[in-house]
Amino acid sequence: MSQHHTSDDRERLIAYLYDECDDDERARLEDHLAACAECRDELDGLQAVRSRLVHWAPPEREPGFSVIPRADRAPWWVAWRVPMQAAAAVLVLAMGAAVAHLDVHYGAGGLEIQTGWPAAPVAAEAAAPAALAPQLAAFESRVEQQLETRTPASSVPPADQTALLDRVRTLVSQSEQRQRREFALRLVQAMQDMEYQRRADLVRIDQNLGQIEGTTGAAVAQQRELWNYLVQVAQQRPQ
Amino acid sequence: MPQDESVALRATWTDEELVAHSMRGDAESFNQLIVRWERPIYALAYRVIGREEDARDVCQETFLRAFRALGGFRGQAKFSSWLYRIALNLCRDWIRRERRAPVVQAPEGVDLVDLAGAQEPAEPLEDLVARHDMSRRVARAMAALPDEQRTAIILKEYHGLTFQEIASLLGCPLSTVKTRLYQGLSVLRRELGRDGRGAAARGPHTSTPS
Repeated sequence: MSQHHTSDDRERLIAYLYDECDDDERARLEDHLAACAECRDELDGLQAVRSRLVHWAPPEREPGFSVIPRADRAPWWVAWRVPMQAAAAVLVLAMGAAVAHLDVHYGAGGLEIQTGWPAAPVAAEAAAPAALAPQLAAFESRVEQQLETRTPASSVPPADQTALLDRVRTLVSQSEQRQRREFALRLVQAMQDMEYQRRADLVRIDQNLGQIEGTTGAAVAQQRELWNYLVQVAQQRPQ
Repeated sequence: MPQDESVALRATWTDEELVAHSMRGDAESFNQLIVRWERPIYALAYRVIGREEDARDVCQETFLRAFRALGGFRGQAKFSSWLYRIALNLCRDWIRRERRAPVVQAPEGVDLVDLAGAQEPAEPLEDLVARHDMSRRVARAMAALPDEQRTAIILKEYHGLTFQEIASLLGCPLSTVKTRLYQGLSVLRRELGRDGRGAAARGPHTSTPS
């Protein structure tokens, strides 16, 4: 929009573009548009750019969290639904721990690690490497913390466990779906790259061919010139 | 009340009704608000800051803050406007913290991911790629805009807010909103017109002079 249009005019045009003007303003602007090619062009351009903006979509995603009411804590708290991989990892860890029946204690008797089912506890020496003990204790408390916050399943009835399992199953299937989509995207990107490369190669081949043609043409012209000269010379001889 | 039924019932409530129930301690009502607004808030954050993971964090943080501050929500604004305000503040913090312009990052052509994963493979690959390209070009052109113009365009184009709502969210006069939109769209028009001359860029209504 050029100099003779004011910022008010631009605002009116924007209001018209987004259909946020009253009937009077609309009628006035339409009158103006009928008379002003510049504004018509401007409006067309802005509408065109809007039609392109719709192509920009954010990545699809699933809801990642929800509020979980807890009876034992006042009044309720927000729990982020753990990302799927983490959930799966926790599940695997929990299953692993269940299978091995791993039990880690750090008590007065030193570090106790118990594995297998009813077997006798393997009491580590009290003189276990001193540096390891605090780390293990930290790990233990972290695991406990995680189990407490991430898997409220231990304190909930089996119905909720089924729901949890369902949710994990859904998450896994969503992950698979996402991976399939991701693969499709990568494939298309690879194909796109190949296409670009192909086009670039074609252009290069074209240019090279043009050069070769040019050189060949020049050589032919030279030969023709030479031939003409020879013919001329040959014709001159008898005279 | 059976769970499914109560969820279905809550889905029919207005935001305001859900807020009122949430304030009385009904977690499911707040979950319904999350279900309803999570996607728009995530989309807003993604478009403003341009990073999928960070946008996700901003989205979660938005709801967490909203949840914590629910007691202070007096209904003076729409719940969605309130959420948008929280999200925009968080985005602004993010940009300030990262001290950089928004980035354009994979997965840029998300529509392509969906299309590629969609049931009907009706759309030719060329069109898919063209759409993917356009999405990337728009993202890049938007990222190059000044923050205030980009935010105004995002709120208007992708969230359908009114000029007045945008003005009150951004704390600026109505006329400033329109000016930002005009300036931003003009820049985008130049940018997208310049590198979008391929057939891919032409929508049915676009008539870029070649």
